[in-house]
This record gives sequence, C-alpha cells and structure tokens, in this order.
Amino acid sequence: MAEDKNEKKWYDYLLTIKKPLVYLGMFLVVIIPFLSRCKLKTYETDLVKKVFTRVEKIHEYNKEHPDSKRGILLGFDYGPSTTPENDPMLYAVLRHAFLRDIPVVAWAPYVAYLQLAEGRIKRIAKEYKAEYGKDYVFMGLAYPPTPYMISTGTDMRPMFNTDYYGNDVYKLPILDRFNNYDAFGLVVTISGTAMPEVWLRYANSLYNQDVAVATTAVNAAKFYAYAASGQFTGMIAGLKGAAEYEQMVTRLENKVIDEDIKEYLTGLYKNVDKDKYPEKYYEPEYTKSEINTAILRRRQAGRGMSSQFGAHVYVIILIIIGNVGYYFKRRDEKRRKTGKWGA
Amino acid sequence: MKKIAVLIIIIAFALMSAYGQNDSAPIEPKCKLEVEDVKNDGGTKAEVYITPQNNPEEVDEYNLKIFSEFEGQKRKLKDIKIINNQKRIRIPVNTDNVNTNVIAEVYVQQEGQSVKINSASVKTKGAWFDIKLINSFVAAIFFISLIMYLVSRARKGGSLFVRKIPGLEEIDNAVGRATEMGKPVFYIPGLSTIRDVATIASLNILRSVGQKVAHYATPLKVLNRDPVVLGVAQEVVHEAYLSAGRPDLYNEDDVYFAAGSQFAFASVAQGAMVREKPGAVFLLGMFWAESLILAETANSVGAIQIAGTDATAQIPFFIASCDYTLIGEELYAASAYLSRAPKLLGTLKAQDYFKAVLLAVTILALITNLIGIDFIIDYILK
Amino acid sequence: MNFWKRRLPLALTVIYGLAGFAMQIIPALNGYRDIQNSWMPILFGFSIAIGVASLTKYHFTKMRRQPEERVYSIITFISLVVMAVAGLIGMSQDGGVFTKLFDNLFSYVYVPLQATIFSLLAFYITSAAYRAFKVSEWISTLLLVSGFIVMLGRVAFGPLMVFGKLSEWIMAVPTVAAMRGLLIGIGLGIMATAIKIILGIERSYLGGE
Repeated sequence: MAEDKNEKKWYDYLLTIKKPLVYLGMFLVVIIPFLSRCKLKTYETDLVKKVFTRVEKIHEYNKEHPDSKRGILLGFDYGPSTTPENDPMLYAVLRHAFLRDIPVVAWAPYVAYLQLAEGRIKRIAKEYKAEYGKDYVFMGLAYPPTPYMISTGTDMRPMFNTDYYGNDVYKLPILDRFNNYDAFGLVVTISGTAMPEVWLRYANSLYNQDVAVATTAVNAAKFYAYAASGQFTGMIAGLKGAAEYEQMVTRLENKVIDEDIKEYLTGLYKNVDKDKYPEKYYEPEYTKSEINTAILRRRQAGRGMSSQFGAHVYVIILIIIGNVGYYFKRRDEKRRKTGKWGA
Repeated sequence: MKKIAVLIIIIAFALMSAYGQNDSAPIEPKCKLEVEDVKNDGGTKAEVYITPQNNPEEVDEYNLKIFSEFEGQKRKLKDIKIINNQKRIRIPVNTDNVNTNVIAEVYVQQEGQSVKINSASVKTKGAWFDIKLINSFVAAIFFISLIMYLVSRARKGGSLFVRKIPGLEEIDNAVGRATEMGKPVFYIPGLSTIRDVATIASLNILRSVGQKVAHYATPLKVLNRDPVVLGVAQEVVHEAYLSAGRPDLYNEDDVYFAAGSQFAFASVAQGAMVREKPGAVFLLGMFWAESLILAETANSVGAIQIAGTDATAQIPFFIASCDYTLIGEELYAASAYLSRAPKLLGTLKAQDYFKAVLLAVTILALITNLIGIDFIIDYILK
Repeated sequence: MNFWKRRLPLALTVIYGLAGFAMQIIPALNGYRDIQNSWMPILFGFSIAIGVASLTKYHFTKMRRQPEERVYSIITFISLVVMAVAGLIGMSQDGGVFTKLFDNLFSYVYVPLQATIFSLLAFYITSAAYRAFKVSEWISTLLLVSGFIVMLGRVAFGPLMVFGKLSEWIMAVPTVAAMRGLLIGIGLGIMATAIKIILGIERSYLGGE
C-alpha cells in the first residue's frame, strides 16, 4: 500500500512540471511571434473610440475657433518598466495630436521618466514637423505632481520657471495661451502607475477638466469603474487598447497624408527653413534607419498583440493541464479513501 | 441709337447709385462687451464676452485687448483678433492676483486707424465658500460628528462589535512560525510615500508586529522605498521594542532604505528574501506592479505571507499568491482591530454607519428612479 | 523629548490638516495653497539626503560584517556614486562627456534593467495563475471560466470574436460592480483615517499609542 502511494502517477507529472520549463515555454511563445514580426489586427472597442473621437472634436473646435484653439495636456506618467505597453499608446496619441495640429504641453512626474519622455516626444514631433515652443513643449519635472496639477487651475508657469531645456516659460509662445485647464480640451495621462487617479482627483474633480487615460492592462481593471461612470473620457487599456488606437491613427494618417509614409518622411525636411528647427530639440533630417524605425513604430502594438496572443493561449493551456492533473488526482484520492473506509 | 440710349440709362443708374451711397450715414461699428468675475473661484479669474453687432460686410473683424490693473500697474494680458461671425464669444482671463481690475477694450480699423468703440471692466473677487463643494462639506461634517459621537460612546464603555479579520488574526501565528523555524520576519510598508493613507495604516500594523517580534526575540527586517517612511518606520519599530521591554534587540540597520526606484526595490527585496529565507513576510501598504514579484518570491522561499493593500489592481495578485490578504479597507481597520482602543473602534463604527447611509441613499435613489422620480439620482450624479 | 517627538508633530498635523481642509473649501485662500504647494518639492528634496545616508550606512556595515555579500554592496555603492557624479557634473555642461555618460547609463543600463525586472511578471503570472485557477468549488470554477473568456477575449479575432464581446461585458459589468464596492469602502476608509489623523485620534504612526 505504501509503495502504491509513492509511485508517481501520470497526473503527478502534470502537476509537477518544473518551473524553469514553464518559464522557458513562456519565453518562447512571447519571443517567436515578436521576432517574426507578425501583426495581429484587432477589433475596436467603445472606450478607445471615445478618446479618439474626443481628440477629433478638439480638431473640429480648433478649425472653427482658430483664435482660441484648444490643446492637449499630456501626463507622461510611466517609467522604463512599462515602456513596452505604454510606448505605443504615447506614440499613437501624439501622432494623432500632431497630425491634427493640436498643441501639446507635456510633463513628467518623476525624474526617472524625464529622459524617456523627452526622447519619445521629440521623436514623434519630428515626424510631423512640429515646432518646439509653438506646437509642443516639454515642461520637464512636475514633482510632486499634485501641486502642479492644482496650479494648472490658474497658471502652471510659476511652478516651473523653465521648461525641460531651460527656456524661460514666459518666453515660449505656446505657453502664452496653453497654461491652464481652460485652454486644454483634454488631459491625457499615459500611465503605468496610479497617477490617473490623481489626475481625476485634481484636474477632473476640482477643475472639471476632461481626462482620458491610457494605462497598462493590470491597472485597467481598476479604471474601468471610472471610465464607465464617465469620469474618464475614454480609456486606452493595455496593449490591446494601444493596438486599437494605433489602427485608428494609421487609418487617419493614410487619409490625411495620402502618401507612402517612407516617401513622406524622406521629403519632410527638404525645402524647409531649418532655422525653425533648432538641433537642440531634434535634427531636421531623416536617415534611412530612422525612417525604418518610424515605419516599424507604426505597428508596434500590433506586433505586441501577437506575442500577447501566444502568452494568453499558453497560460490557458497550462491551466487546463494543471486542472486535468488536479482533477484526476483528487478522484483517485477519493477512491482510495472510500476504499479504505469500506474495508 | 438704341445702343446709345441703353448706355445713357446705365450711366444714369451708376451715377444715381454712387450718389445714393455717398448720401447714406457712415457705418457705426458696434459690439456688446461683457466682463464678468468668475464666481466660486480664488479671485483671479474673469470672463470676457464679446458679441459683434454689425454685419460681417460692415465690420469684418474686431480687435479685443484685455488688460489687468493691480496696485496701479497696468499689464496687457491679451490682444486678440475677433473675426465677425455674429456669435457671442467667450474669452477666459487669468490674472496673477486677487482683486485685480480686468479691463476689456474693443477696437476697429477705420480709415487706417484703430478706433476704440467699447470698453468694460470688473474687479475679480475671491469666494469665501466653494458652493460646488457643499455636498462634500456637509458629508464631512456629518461624518466627523458621527465619529465624535461613537468615540465618546466607546469611551463610556459601550461595546462595539468588529467581525473577525483572518489576516490580522494570523499575525501572531506567522511571527510564531518564523520564530520556531529560527528565520527572520520581513516587513514591507508599501512603496508609496507617507502621504498615502495606506502607508500610515501599514505603519500602524508595523507597531503591533514589532511588539510581537520583540516579544519572541525574532529578527525583523523592514525594507523601505521612501526616505520619509524610513524615518517613521525606524521610530515605530524602536518604540515597539521599547514598549515590549526589549530595546536591546533593536538595531537601526534592520530598518533600512532598500532602493528609491520601484523595480530596483523589487530586486533588492527579492534578493534579500532568497538569501535570508524569511519565515514570514508582511506586504502591507501601497503596491504597484511589483506586488506579484514580491509575493511570488516569498511564496517560493516558503514564507507565510500576509498581504494587504488598497491598490485594487493588485488585490487579485495578492489573493492568488499569498496566504492571507487584507482587502482594501481591512487594512485601515487594522490599527483599531489590533489595539482595540475605544476611540479607534469608534471611528471604525462611524465608517460602517456612514457606509450604511450611503447604501441607503443609493438604494432609495434606484427605487425612486424605477418609479419615475428622478431628482435624487440626478442630484447624486450631478 | 516628548515635545519634539509627539506634541509638535501632532500639533503640526492638526494645524496643516485643518488648514488643508479650509483651503480646499475656501477658494479665496487659493493663493496660500499655491505657496504651500511650492514648499513641497523643497521638502521632498531634503528627504533624498536621508535615503542616501541610510543606503550608504547600510551597505558600509554590510561590507564590514558580511564578506560573502560584499560584492553586491560594492556594486550598489559604485553605481550610486557614478550616477550621481555624472548627473551632477553633467548638469552644468551641456553635451559634455559626463552628460553623455549619464545619458548612456540611463538609456542602456537603467532602462533595460527596469524593463527586465518588470518582465519577470510574465513568468510569475504563469505560476500564480496556475495556483489561483483551480477547479475545486463552483465559485472557483466561475473564476476559471471568466478568466478564460477574458484572456481569449483580449486577443480575439475571427471566430473568437464571441469571446471579445463576452470579455468586454465581464470587464464592464461584473468587474466594475465589484471594483465600485471596493472603491467606495476604500474611499470611506481613507476619509476616516484622514479625519482620525487630523483630529489626533490615530497616532501610532508617530510611534506611540
């Protein structure tokens, strides 16, 4: 009897798959689809469409009121760790804003986010010839974020004094108008943290400012409640949300630019007054590899979705395997027990 | 002949129309200008409304200039071209100071010169009560009164029942088990700052854990991410050891600053757990994406894990990998639960009664909404 | 001692707590709130010194007492010094060698390290999900089924679209309902704890009862 108990049954093997093996499997199902550059087309959900439509509405408003335009205030609220999920969101939202000529004012709440933010924002600004200080501005560090959010109720400039590059905030033309919530049609917080709640508490509750959130899938579960109640003007959730927004913007871009993106980027800075684009912000010319990266960037989330598909299916298979083992083990144990009691 | 006649008629008409034009009165450019102080604000905002009163053919654009005047100093705030589309246009104005005169002036171009046609002004004033916050204000006052009442009742010896919270009941067992195994106890008071209520709630529990640990003479390691929390945690643990009568066991280096960045902290904690193999791990406070990394590592080294957070997104991860999880507000209830101090229990009860009131109002709103009375739900949603 | 460690902090808490409450409901005090807000970054700046001091002390002690773990402490200490020096000197000379060093360390060491630790989650999630999703009672079966639907729904296409719709419903209705319950409780808990702290009822965080 004791020997029987110690003998390993088939289900025991299912229940004791070594962790490194499980992890290796995960590594493969994520890396293979990603490297093979598969792209997964995804369906579009209402919450993401809501953000897109809101940005489009700002564009409509700006067309009608060229003297009192509205802008977007961007909270760069994510750090290095969540870049794979948040980057495509940022790229898509910025592409949309610059495509529609909507002024963007951005800041980041932690030191570790600054460099990431600066590099990424200028990368996209360059794709649309956005001029620093006129079409967009990066204010730099807003830490601790709460007082900065509250001050934007009146005027954010005194809190900063200078922008990220050290320019006097009173000398940047964009900030003459875009320095308080009245001038912003939307706050977009791109976050891997709980920062959207802070935006909600201050920008939305105190100043009635529309806030849209773009967040990682883990945090999304919490924010659904706010999005459902309308406190958030739409939500881009996880890689899937990013892929949706990316799809919508690419569609719009094809319509607005109406040119092959490679040719568009190649010719972008030919015959332009280069004095308008100081090298401090970005170099007004494109190399071949930069163009290739820009094209790849346009389907970054779509590529990520294929890895996500692999990972989800893999976890489901693991759970099934585990449960099958668990079920048969329990059944056997039950039988054994009843057998004993019967005797 | 006919041609000449037609030509004469045309010339006559042209002359007449030219004469008529000269005869008509010159156009008087007009617009309605309103300058209003924004109510309910800090006293720095105003709004200017301009409504053109001419046809676009008569005056195609107006020039609106807005000035602020404070302590005798006049400053130009805005200089805007208003295209005449005969609509009322709103222009928000921000000034730097309270009690500033906001002056708006409208100009039009006449014969190459800019002529002022209208002006208006207002003095900005700060409000002494934000009427939009009346609901929150009344609720806060009601809540504070409820707390005062229940605290005084508890002090007089009224019994207040609190249901069992397994996670808190298990603190003793967890420390006991670590002691039996001769392993240290790890405590992480979350990764947030002292401004977070969850951090303060966690530091309250740290005191109880510290006392128990001191009682059993088990080593305690407290890993911190925020320097201010570190200072407070050191003080809390020191006091706990003192009150347990074992100040000799307290070592300041056991409560230390692990790392300032989120994932650096996670890897320091992971490394420490793998090397020191704690018998019990407390993860109480505010956690973000690192929650699962910490909990799974603690699980893999065979520690009893008691977790608790109000970060709703992290609760599922803790439930999946920890032995006991304090869900949301259970974390805040901990200090009352553990100390059984009447004044703390009083506030806990007040919280429950307040929740019951909110629930009752919500249900009432739903029922009245179903029978077609909307004002309660409209009020709530407003 | 009692004055510095108990009474003064408590008095400051009460004063600033009540002042914060007043500034929230009296818009005329907005100007003061802005001043108070601008103090905060300064105070936070000073707290960094406490962190660095603790970190240095901890690792120095460790280097002395635990020779087998010395190497980790040395790496930590070197990283701290190099990054701080590169950052501080680089700040004053735009585009210099120190700025480049700082930028490169940040972009090619710090960022990938952070992302690496975060990506460990993918692995831990498999083992945690495996433990959480076990069919033992009807309620855990329910969890398992809804977990399946959401996981498939997030990556749905073609014939799997039915899961997409179902997962949207699960996220928008039952999840939101549960989250709201939690959030209301948490909101009230935060409010109660804040009031306890402002009124001085709760003071364990100061070390005392």
